[in-house]
Amino acid sequence: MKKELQITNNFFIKNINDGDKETFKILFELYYGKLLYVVQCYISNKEDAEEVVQDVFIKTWKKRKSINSNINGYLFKVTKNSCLDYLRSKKHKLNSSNNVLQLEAYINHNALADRDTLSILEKELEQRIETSIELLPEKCKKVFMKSRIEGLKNREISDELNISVKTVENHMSKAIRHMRLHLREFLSFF
Amino acid sequence: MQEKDLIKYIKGAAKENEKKAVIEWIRKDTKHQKQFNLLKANYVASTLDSYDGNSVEAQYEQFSSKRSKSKVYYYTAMCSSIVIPLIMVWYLFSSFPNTNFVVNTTDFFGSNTNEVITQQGDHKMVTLPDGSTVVLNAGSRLTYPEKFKDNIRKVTLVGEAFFDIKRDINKPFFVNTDDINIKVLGTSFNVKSYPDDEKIETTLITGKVEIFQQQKEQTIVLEPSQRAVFDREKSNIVVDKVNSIHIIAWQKGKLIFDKTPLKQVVLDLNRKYDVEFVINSDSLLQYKYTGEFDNLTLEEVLELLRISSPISYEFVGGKIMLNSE
Repeated sequence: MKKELQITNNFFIKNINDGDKETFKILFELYYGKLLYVVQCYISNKEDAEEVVQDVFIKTWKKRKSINSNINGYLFKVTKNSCLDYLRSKKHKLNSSNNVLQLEAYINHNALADRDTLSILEKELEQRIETSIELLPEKCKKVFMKSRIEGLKNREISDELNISVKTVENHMSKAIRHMRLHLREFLSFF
Repeated sequence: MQEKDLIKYIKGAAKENEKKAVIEWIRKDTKHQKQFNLLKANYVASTLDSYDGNSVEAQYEQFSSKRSKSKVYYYTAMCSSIVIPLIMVWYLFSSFPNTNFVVNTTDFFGSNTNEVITQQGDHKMVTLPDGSTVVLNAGSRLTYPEKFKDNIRKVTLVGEAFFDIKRDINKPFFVNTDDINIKVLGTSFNVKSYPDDEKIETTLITGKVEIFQQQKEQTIVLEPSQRAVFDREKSNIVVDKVNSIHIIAWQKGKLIFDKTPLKQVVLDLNRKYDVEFVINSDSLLQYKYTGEFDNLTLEEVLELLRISSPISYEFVGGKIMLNSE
């Protein structure tokens, strides 16, 4: 793990343990789209996929005090298990009224339960999140790191970097927007 | 199987027959499954940023409200665990006459069940333990547990009701009637199942429902605005398309008939106005009525019937006799 991500991870863990809603929002913004995409690849019903990811964050929030390892690993594990639970139970059968969908659920369940191949996905997720943070423009990134990672107040950052509080706020929203935007920048290899 | 065919399938670009071929191939051999697992994980990993990110804000709002809701439920549960025993104690010790329409009984398994009954001409709105709502039409009975089990929500209905069910993929919702069972995850629909009617009608308003005929394996899945009509005598189900607004108009006090046999019309009138009808002519038994009664009094209904159809009426000994003109 690179140092930057290490800091991010420790920061996330500490703030999440404390029940900091702002941190949780960042976590949500960073991970939601990627987790939803993964879930949708294994659960064909879009509504149910959204519900599964929502549940992942609810579960994570409820367990926030006991998370003590790698946040990426934690989120990925909860997501995977929720998908497996969903595919294993009878409830998805209502949404898969034909045979092909049920067989697909079966092979997707096997694919998700395969630890060796799924670790590829987990590592890739970690790297992409890392890139999300790296891709921020320099100044934004500095502000973002100071605020979200070192935990400085906007006032303190404005003093330290000699910029106005308004500029700090702008950089912050730009940083968050940037993270969201860049999610679209990748093209598939296929 | 060529890798490019597998990838085509994984990308969701395979046609229906190609899909079947790939699935069959994967299921044939665990090595095939392994190869699929690896390809799929790699594909998903390489396209991990495909989500366009537009609705993250909305999704966060949804998460946020769910998060605070779970707290509210917690407090509600805490409060009710204190308040409900108090009410029960008060109830036991007061000699208050039994006007409470929720009757609490203990069923065979020892868990408490509630029963809500409506008289003729009456409607009642019931909130179930999961927050779903049911509007009960006249002359109906709904039975439901005080607390739903962990994996299932089950209620029993005699009569007619409109259900608006909270979505919970972990707990399917079942409505049991005499002859058919209905299963949903979260949706709104109307069930009309009076013992003296010849048919049981289930109409879907939104979402998806599944209908099981008792003692038969086959199920029927309804799309919105579809109605499944179970014929008690023939013991079969016919699905037709309806205007769902007409079906649930009873909640607003309206009765809407669309080529409805007069026999059925008088049954509905009897429930709404609590008055007995007698059809005195064979030709009227075959007559099908089309019309709308929007919150009318009984007298207005009878007048409208007389004007708009070949029916005349007279009061005899508290009953209404219908004759052909």
